[in-house]
Amino acid sequence: MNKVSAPLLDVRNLSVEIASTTIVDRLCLQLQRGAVHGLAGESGSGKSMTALAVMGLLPDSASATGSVLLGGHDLMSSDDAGMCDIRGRRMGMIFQEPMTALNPLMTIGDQVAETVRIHTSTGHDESRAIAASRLDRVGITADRAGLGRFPHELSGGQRQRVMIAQAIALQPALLIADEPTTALDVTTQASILELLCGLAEEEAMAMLLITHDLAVLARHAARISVMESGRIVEEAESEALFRNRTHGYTRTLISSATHQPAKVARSQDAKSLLTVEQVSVGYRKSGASLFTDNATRTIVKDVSLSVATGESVALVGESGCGKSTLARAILGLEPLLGGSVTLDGHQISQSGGLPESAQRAVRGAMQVVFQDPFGSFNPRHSVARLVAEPFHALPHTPRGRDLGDAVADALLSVGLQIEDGTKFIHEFSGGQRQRIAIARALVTRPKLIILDEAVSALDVSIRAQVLDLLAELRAKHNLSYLFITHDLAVVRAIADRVVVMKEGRFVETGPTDQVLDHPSAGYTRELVAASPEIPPEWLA
Amino acid sequence: MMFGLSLAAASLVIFVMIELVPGDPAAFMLGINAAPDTLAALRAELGLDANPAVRYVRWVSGMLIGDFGVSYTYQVPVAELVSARLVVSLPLAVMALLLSILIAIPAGMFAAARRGQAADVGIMGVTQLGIAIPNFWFAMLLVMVFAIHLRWVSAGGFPGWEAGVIEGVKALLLPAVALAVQQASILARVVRSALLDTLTQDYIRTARARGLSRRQVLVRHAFRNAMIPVLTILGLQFSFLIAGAVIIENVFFLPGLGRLVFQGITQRDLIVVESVVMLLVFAVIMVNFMVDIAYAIIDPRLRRR
Repeated sequence: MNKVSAPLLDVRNLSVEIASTTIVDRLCLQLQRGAVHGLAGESGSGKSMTALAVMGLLPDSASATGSVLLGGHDLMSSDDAGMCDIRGRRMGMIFQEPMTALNPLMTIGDQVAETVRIHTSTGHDESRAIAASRLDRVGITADRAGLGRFPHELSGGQRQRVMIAQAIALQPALLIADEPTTALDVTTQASILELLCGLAEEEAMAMLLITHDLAVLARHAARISVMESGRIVEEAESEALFRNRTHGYTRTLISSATHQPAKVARSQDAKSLLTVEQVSVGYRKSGASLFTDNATRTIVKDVSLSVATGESVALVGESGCGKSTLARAILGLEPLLGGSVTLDGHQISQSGGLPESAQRAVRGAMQVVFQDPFGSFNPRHSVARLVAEPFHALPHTPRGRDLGDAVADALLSVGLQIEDGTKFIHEFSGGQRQRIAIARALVTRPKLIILDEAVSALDVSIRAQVLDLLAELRAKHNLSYLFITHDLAVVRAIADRVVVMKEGRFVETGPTDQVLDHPSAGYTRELVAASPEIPPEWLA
Repeated sequence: MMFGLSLAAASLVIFVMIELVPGDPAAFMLGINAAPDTLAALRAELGLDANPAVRYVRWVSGMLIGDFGVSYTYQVPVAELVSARLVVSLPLAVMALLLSILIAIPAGMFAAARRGQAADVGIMGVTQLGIAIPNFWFAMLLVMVFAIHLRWVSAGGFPGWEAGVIEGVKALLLPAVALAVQQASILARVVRSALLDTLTQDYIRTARARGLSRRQVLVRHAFRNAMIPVLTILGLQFSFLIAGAVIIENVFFLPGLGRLVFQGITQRDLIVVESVVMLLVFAVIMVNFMVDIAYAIIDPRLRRR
């Protein structure tokens, strides 16, 4: 069979420029029918632009050169009408954002059926029937309201299934999946990836799987191309890529992804710093009458937790399990329905509330770092002013030179310069912004820092640096961390102890290695199994 | 319940505001040389001698049973007066709004589809002009061209609906156009920017990846999503058009609500002013209510299960 040698997708010398900046640089890529091909790289490496160029969906400001052949047909020379005919019929694409990538005003059935109706002369009923069968194939069954449901009535994972259904409705030869599971929970991610790879095999569809997550590719892709600043620096069979690590950049990526900061030695008899006792948190149900008192939805149910001085505890769970709500309750941002929170010997929160003064006294001892390194800063304030922000909540605010010194100390300790204080937040990269967020948390010399998905949005190499920084700060200042995350690799890297949370309750607690290597609760086992991991023997 | 509360609050505000306006209707009716005892007698007859609280209750309870009082100057029931004006003002507002929609939506869509091109720049320039030109001046221009030169329609006045629907519509056509130009200009800009905003959304990219052309995406996906901000503006515009046409009504000698309020104020016919303003408040609340219903029809996320 010489057909194997003729690739389905053949990209030759593809270059993409936006405003005379080269985004993709003479890229060559070949995909075989039925194969899953991984495209790895950090943000800004040009992965998504490559995908959009193949689809002919580059933004108007971008210009592309080179050739893209799909089954021998040159896409780059097609006009938009020609591309419209090919998109959706011969090739489909799914995107990262399951929350926004579907039209909120259109039923899911109509959105899947639209693919069919646009390309074929199928009537209304027949295209709906096709939509129903494709939705059924991706696991959205037509029971109850079925096709008539709107995107907002579905969970993130279900929406991503609808995305897949509308992309594969006409059984295209090529499917491009751009970070299809990045916004999803690990167990959902596992099932979506299984579905995608199953479909690729079943329908002999080539799939270009674009992700920053090497572990995902290790498990699912046959071949992997690694991209760095617009170019493919290495391409190989998956196993060979991980085993040989030929190219320097590939080595950096792999070592960052599996990076473990130096373990912090800790005295075992440290006293408890944070104590959470039988805490419940909930909301009043919307629409509930003022007079029915128990119409509340409990998010966190009767949980107890303690963090010792200098200890790092990870709180793990999927979205909606209540981990962020618990963090907010510890910070005093949510009233408690029951239980109490004690920090450094002071009770800071209890059901029924405490006077403001009780929280004020110890507020400086506890700080927080959030996920979004950009959204959590006021863009119009200088970095120095942003870093000094936590002082506003304290009874004694340092002034003049003292304030300047405190800010300078904080900036230096996260690896920034004192002059950076006069700049504004948009002048910094994502990793630097997260350093500024950490500096802001450090400025009051806290004992406990709560990190809510603080490294989730960062690229692996930056993430490795931030994790190192956190480990270093912890050793230096004897800090305690409460690390909220869904990423077990991060847990392994930073936590002494791990607490697994599901549906508002703790299902398992214990030392990190024990919980992750020998999980006792069924849910923990599920989580560990679903978390993608590069096979250790490949890295030996 | 919100509806009733809003109305009650509005009625109180209106009453207090009008109480604060200087000028005694009785004194105005009798002229400056009136004898004090005649004035007192008229005040008693009009019910102006009672204390404000009593008069407020009288006014509100009257309205509840459909009695809006009797105009001081015209000596006819206010309800009659208002309804006679409403048959002019309401059709005028509706016509102006329809015209505005008919102009603005295609213009906005056209401009959005050709963003940055000559057509877009041209349409945006024209709408800029449409907003800047005072509508009474434009109205006079229309009269000069279509009534005086071309003699297609009359220069002003309203023959009444008894003269036939066509005659009535003809009389309202120029004023409606004069009103619509400004509203259409504003609306076209809103339609354009709302469309451009939705065109950058992720679901538009998804639809393009499905094989829809730019045009199909605009019509099938962007348009409905862009309707929400457009509806908000439409609601505000309709409320404005019902009463905001005073100047245009004056230019065209139309017996509309705007002129009634204006005369009511200058002649201290406070009972008329109060009632018309109350009616307008009612209309604004109704329009907002309908806009809310329209939101829910467009956007499934706003529907209650």
